[in-house]
Amino acid sequence: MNGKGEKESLEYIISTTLRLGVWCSFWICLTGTVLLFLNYRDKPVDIYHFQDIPPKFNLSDLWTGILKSDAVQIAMLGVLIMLITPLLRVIFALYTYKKQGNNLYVLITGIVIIIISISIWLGTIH
Amino acid sequence: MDYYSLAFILIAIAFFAGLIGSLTGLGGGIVIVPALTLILHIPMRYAVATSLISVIGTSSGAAAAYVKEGYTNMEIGMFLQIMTTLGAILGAVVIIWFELSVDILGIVFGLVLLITAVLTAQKKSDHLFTIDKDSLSYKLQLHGTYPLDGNKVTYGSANPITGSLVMCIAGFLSGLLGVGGGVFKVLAMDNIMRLPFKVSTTTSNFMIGVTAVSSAIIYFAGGYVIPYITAPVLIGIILGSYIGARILKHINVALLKNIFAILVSIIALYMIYNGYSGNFDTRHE
Repeated sequence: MNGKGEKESLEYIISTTLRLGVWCSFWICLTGTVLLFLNYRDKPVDIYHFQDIPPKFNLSDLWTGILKSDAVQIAMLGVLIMLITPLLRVIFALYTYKKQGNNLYVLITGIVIIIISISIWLGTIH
Repeated sequence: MDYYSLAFILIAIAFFAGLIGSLTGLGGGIVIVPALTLILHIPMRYAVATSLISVIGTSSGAAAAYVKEGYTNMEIGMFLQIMTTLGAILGAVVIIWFELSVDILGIVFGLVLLITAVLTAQKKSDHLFTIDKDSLSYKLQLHGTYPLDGNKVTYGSANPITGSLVMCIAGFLSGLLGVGGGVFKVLAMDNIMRLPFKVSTTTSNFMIGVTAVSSAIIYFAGGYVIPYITAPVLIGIILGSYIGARILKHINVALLKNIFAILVSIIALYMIYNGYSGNFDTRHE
């Protein structure tokens, strides 16, 4: 594939990733919110203390919660997909630049990925 | 308040934010944070975290269309993201680790809103910077083409270092206040880097998602993202921006932008007043 074709292919992949990520997150959030409606039907919600919410995100809690159709964890999955969507497009960009042999942008995209990894690390240590 | 009422209010606020955001090109963050803090009295850090996630939603939705249409310059976006992500991480660290007073945050937010209102109301002039093959911009591949009346228009860029520094400030404000910072990103690309206006706005939109993610991760890992608040906000903002994008061509956007600028100015003054009066601290901390 020539350079122009690869650029158009990158644009297509990124555009599709973003659209899929947004709508996937939307439907999962909607499912989670409907289940939350049913679970919290008549309960007052204290927005100062956020009862029933685990203090920090935990992958195993998320997985267990989804298997049990836990409303909070399903809504959390929707939020997580939204967070992952822009990250995926950076990773796809890195792959395409590598395929194009555009070493400058492999380096620049790599730096962006390293910075985002630092933010993940900062989030986990605090 | 029961969850029904809370969720419906959240969806309605986010729908309005998404609709207005996509019609004016400002994103929804500048509506979400004041609404969550001043109407629902949700603590500032939780509101900022929710807003950041919603900003990713609106940015990703719009960026998908602009990338496909060929307006977005992904190389310029990727290059500038180095500084926006660094700035965004710094903003999140300042608000979470150093426990910055939410009153000060409210005042800063109000000031940023005022600047946003002024910049939104200003008339933009378009320009086309020719490619200089000896420049740093050219070596960094910060040039491209965009479609115009069935043709491809070629453009170059200028001042990549100064542009990057302004981007760092835009990223910092995004991480600190939970906004996309699009106005500042466009300012850097349009006024400093001399990019065509359409390329500036679409590339800014493209960058907002990754910028917001780099600080949202810190809020997310810190437990500031509450699914039963964030999920309804995401639903509302995605629907709002989707419908906004579809009715855009039937609306007098210039008039809407001026009305929105006035509305944002009023919210800004209210945020500053609440911050100055110490209302955020006494209500939320």
